[in-house]
Amino acid sequence: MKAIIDEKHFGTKRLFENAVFDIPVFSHTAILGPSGCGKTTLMRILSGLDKDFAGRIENGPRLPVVLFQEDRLQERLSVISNLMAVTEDRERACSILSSLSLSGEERTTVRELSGGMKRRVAMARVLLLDSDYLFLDEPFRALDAESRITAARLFLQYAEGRTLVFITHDEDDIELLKADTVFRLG
Amino acid sequence: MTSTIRENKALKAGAVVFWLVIWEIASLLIGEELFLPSPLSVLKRLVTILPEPDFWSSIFFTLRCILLGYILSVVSASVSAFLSYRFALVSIILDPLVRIVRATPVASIVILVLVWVRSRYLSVVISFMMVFPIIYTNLLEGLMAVDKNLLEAADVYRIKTAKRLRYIFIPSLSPYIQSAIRTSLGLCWKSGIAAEVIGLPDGSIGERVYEAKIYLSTPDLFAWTVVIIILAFLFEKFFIYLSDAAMRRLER
Repeated sequence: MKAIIDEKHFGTKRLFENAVFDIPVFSHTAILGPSGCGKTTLMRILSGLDKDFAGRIENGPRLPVVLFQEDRLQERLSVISNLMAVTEDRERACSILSSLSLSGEERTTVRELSGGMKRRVAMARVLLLDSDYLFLDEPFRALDAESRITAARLFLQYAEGRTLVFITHDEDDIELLKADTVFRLG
Repeated sequence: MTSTIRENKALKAGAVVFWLVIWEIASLLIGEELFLPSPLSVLKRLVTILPEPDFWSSIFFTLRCILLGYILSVVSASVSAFLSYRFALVSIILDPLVRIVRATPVASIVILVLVWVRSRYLSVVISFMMVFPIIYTNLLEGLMAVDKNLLEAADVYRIKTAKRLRYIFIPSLSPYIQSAIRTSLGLCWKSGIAAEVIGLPDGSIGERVYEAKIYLSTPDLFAWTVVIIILAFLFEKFFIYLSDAAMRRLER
């Protein structure tokens, strides 16, 4: 996949000008940079969510799966209901929850969960979906060290035979998610 | 502390007793049942009319009409709100109509509707018309407030329409639905009965209230008013219970 961005503004701020991002198929690509440098905007362009820019995407993903920076869960519903919104396979949903140490929380309403638990529910939802491209925006936000390792292992399993693009602030995540391509912005 | 006091059931019951005592004292001071019957004479009258077949047939008649008007209104207002949310043109077209119905006095609408429909169906139409703007406005407001991030996520995760409704829209709309139910049920009863008092459909509660007024039977008027209040209360409790039960089922 190749993103050729002639120009992209966010409000009045120019984020990209004559920039090219080449992401090899099946690669693990990290996007690093300080806050406000345009990491999320770049990921939205790459995943096809943001089409409001001058430029083009070559061989872009057809059906990308995105773990958003925000958890984007329905807070009023239970953990399992949030997952059942994307799958019919309850057994698989429970199994993924279990692998993310969320066994027994299936019936818990999302608003009762801690930030880290919500993040893991959002991850579980992403892992239930099928796609050739997986985009992760600060995937380990609010997670403790142990949960980061578990989540990274699950993402790496999922990413086998797929292309992984992730945003992070943390240099350690490059190693954790075995990035072979790194874009440093800002 | 304040919220504990506000939620204290004994204190709430005490407030009811306090007003009953005030009523009794006022009735004793006036000393004329025609102007203000005592709570006891209203209760006695209520006990007298309870076993009468006409009492129950009037209740069922009015209940049926108001319930029908309410359900029709909820269904059509929900569909209209979704259409308005989806197509801005529908919202623009409906907006003046909703504003006019909201601003027009019930009595004017009742008299106008009496020209168009038989009095038998009057409370159905009036309940429908009074409830529609409340449900429509609340639902539309709720739909506009649905988190855009959730909707974008639903697009990315390829969530189909039925599941969007079940997992995104209905839970997000729940507070708006409950508020609409609370606001509209009281109005539905009040306007429905007011319509019956004006239109006098045979065998309705409105007709009984009107007869009580004509024959200067103030205890009857009060007794029927108590019945209306109880029915409105039960009606509200029933619909709120249904809505809560549906929400609890969804949350699981």
